Amino acid sequence: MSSPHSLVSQLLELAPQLPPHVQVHALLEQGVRLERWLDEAHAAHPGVSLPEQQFIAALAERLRADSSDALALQLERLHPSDLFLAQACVHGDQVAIERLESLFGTELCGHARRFANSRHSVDDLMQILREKLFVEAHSGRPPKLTAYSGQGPLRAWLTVTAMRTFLDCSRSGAQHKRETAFDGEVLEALMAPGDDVEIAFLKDKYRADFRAAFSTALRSLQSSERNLLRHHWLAGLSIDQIGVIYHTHRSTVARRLARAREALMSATRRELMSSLGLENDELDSVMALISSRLEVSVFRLLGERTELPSERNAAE
Amino acid sequence: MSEQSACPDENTLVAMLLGQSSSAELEQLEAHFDTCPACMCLLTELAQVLPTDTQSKLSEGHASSRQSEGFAAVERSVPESERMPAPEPHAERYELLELVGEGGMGAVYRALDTRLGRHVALKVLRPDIDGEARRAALTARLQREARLLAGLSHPNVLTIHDVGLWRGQVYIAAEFIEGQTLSSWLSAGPRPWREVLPLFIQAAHGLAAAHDAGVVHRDIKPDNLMLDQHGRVRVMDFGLASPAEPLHDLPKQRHSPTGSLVMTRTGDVFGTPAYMSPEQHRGECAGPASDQFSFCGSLFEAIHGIRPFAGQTVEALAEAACAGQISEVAHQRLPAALNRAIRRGLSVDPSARHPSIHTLAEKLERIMRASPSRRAATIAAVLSALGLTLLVLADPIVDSPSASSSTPARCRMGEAYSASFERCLPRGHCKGDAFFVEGRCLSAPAAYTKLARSCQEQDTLACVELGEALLHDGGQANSLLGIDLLRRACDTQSAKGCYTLAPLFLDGVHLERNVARGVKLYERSCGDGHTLACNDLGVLLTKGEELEPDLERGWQLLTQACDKGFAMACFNLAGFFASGRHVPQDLERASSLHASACKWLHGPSCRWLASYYSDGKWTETQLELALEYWIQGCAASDALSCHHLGGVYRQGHGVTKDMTKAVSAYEDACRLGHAPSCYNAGHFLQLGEEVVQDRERGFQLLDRGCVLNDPRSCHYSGRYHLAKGELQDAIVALQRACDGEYVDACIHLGRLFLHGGHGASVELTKAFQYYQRSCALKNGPSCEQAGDMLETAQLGEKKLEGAVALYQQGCALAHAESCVRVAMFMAEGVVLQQDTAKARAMLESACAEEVERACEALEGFGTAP
Repeated sequence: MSSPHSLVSQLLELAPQLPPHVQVHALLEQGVRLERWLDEAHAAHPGVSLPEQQFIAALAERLRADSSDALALQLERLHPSDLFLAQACVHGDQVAIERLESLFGTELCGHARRFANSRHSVDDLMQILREKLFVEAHSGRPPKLTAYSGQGPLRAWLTVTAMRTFLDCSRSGAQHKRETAFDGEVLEALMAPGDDVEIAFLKDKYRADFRAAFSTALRSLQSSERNLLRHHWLAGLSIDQIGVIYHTHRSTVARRLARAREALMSATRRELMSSLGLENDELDSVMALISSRLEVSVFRLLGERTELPSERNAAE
Repeated sequence: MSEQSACPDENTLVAMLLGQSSSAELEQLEAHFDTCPACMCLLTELAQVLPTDTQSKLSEGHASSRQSEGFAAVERSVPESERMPAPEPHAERYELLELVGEGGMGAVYRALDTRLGRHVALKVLRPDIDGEARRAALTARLQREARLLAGLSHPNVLTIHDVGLWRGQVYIAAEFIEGQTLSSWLSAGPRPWREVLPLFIQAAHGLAAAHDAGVVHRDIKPDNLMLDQHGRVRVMDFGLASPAEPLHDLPKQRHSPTGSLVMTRTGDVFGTPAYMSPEQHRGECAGPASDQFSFCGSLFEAIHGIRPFAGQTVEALAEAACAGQISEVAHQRLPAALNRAIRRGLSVDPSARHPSIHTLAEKLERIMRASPSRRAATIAAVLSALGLTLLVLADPIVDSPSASSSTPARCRMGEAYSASFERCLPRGHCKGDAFFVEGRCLSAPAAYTKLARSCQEQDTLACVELGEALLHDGGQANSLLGIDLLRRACDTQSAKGCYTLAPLFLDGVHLERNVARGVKLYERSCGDGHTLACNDLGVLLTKGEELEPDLERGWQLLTQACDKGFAMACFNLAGFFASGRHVPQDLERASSLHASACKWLHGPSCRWLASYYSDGKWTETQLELALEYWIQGCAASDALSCHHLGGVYRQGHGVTKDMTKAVSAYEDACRLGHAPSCYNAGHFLQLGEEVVQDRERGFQLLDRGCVLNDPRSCHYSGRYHLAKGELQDAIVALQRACDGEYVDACIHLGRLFLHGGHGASVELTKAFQYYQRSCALKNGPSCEQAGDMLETAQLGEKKLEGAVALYQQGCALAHAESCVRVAMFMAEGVVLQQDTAKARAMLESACAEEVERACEALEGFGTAP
């Protein structure tokens, strides 16, 4: 193995995109760290071979920072063993590919199962994923795994890639128009014919006005608020699951959700008030009914949104 | 890099999932998601496969291989402060008492829920399940199903109380049933079908409720049906779909040629091969129809004692199921209808099975009813005493030409002839078993005697009626007799006879299904001037559920019936014009049809017209018209019309506001069974706002509302009972309201048992339970109250973990006081990990919301070291 010093030199040579003031040298502690990474990678994935040179090149290509601090953070977040494995796969090392399959295959296969349908069996989906990850496409597009930046765990990156691939598969052929009319869907859920006759009555009376007010109100929200409501109402995600997406604690999600809901309701209320010219107390009772209906609708939606993804896409 | 150039690439998404995106980046991402359904869909899927409690594992890489395989470096790369806190373990909440069962996937314990002092069944994943990914998938599945079932309350579905982590294991806590599974009940010895069927009917209802809630069981089998000591059946193990326990000596592995990544079928969550539907065998998605298949398979086994499909290996079973090779059974005395119903449910093609498990449940109920009962014996005795059995079997009945259906000389049982409307109207119900015959309530034997006499005197209508009654009330012999009577009546040109006979060919319960025959009978009856037949067939043909749709013919039939003045048919037709289904929307036409129907006292049509005229613009003439129609609808006994009428008078839309009239309309609606109206009327009468106060009458209305299962009525009725000092009645009513999730009632009960008063004694355990329930119903203050009771040891001993969990629930409900409690624990590092900064932030935000206690605590913070 090359000496720590020569490793760093190679790295610097291969990373011309780094501005000169960024002190790679200092950060890599004279290469000790780089050497340790290689040791760790070899220990983590025994038998997997990747020329040192190629690992360094891949690393160099990924170092993009305009300040020493940014570079420090980037290196801090680097998953060297994962990058090592991914690069080895890309360079066609059979042991590496087997290693990757044995580490993540079962889990990815579990995800594929959620999307399997009459057109694509689990085997098909996994095959499509494998080709995408490891094989260069006819179009010359490099194997997908090349795109792995090493900035997060490979497992997470694979999960995201796999889910996107599977979703595309289950969607292609079926219609691709989910959620074209978000406000319409939410509104229908809010105003669904239930046994509550008062709401049915209101629906008859104010349908058009309410629809207009509601969509205006919805448009007035911030993107993040709208997305939050989508996650919760349309996708039926729990607060914890939304927390996963944003890496946020459940109580924060709950608060944000409450705020978004509140914003939506009060904006609707404002709109209704100006368009209908209703007196306050009647508006109150309209809004009270609609709010109470909201909870019911959420549960109803939760119940409806439970099909498998493949069924859901087919249904749309 | 990513093929969808506009969408964020995988690296960016991973950074977001790890919480590493800057706020500017996040903002950009959100803006993109807002317009990109595909990305939103991806996030939804990701949120579901990344189990919430393994969030930190995501950052840690592949947990199981971490130590030996060098992911330690990975773990370090995420700073501690950025990780998500692990969920609170409910570690000490459950105390295991005994192992009650073990399956392929998990173990079930009887456990004591120490917080509530009740026994629960605790299902835990087996610790030796291989593979982190598989565990994670099972865990996610467990949680998702529990969440779905949490919203489902049905007497025939096992109630899930809780789901969470216990000593690092995911668990589900469910109600504990003293009883046995149907499979062990069945294994105790052969059971007659009459004993088996009612249990399966219950299970079918439970399953139907689950399907309504969008949950598919995927693993229905006798093992998953629990029978308690009182004979109640519950469907359980939703989605736990235990990993195909190998049938006795089934080969466990199934090698796939495509390589190492493919899991073996028996190795994954799939179902139990012996009961699996063909589509499940083929690896396709299981839908409600698959449950129906497994259900019928289980019923088949329960009745015949052998499995519906033979085979020693998964492959053999799959082959038999996919080919529809149902096992041969020894001849058994079994109603043919039951046999047919089961076999239809076992159809290879899902669309050939019963339309839904609802339909199947109804069918099974009809079959059950059609089996002889005690009353049937009485009837048989009456009939034989009259020599009728011999008579109908021996002599054909000659039709009397005068007895045609155009003049309703006699109404059906349960109807009364109204001279003023010149037609039969549904009419109030004779008590108990009595029948309404010729304007009088008669006991069953008397009614049968009377009908049989008339039938003997060649009154065909009486024969039809008798036939119908025999069909529904008698045993198998009587159904045969009933059908025979109907056949003869139909043969002798009785339109009503044919009309009554026709559906029997469609439902396949009493007679072998023969659609063509059924349609022919309808047609014949309709042709003979029986408008009901024209209408019914018209509806069947346009709906196209029970038989092949034929819009044009259906349409003709409905028009014909409507032209003859049959209100229902006009209503049905109007529906098509109003909705624009089958024909272009034509509201004018719809309203004129509804107007005809309303004139013939079809309440819903009047209601439609009223809504139509009151919709939107409020011109004076339209409002007058609308009012007129509300009044007519209400007069035609349409509860909703009365309810709306009440609303119109109450709000004074287009009329002078008149609370007396409003209350009286609400009272009508209440009388007609509309529960919310009972509340309205009762409420206004009690308050006496703009109406003469009449507390007692108001109270009676609330009571009726409560009887009709309106939680709000129960709540106020309960409070009125309380005011009158009727403690027991009050508690019963409030309890019903609380059961109906009327949170105020739960809080009221909590307060009652916490402080006593109104003659109630203090019962802290009960008080706690009600507060806890209110908390579960999202009332923040109740969470704090319940938590406080645990913290201050009001139930015996201090239970800090429980208290904190409740405070956290309250805080999640944005109840600032609860957050303050959480913050205090956090500040002191008791139960929760010490985090002064976070505690201070929580207190500050609570103080900003003017929670005195938070501000005080903050002051204390300032002086603390």
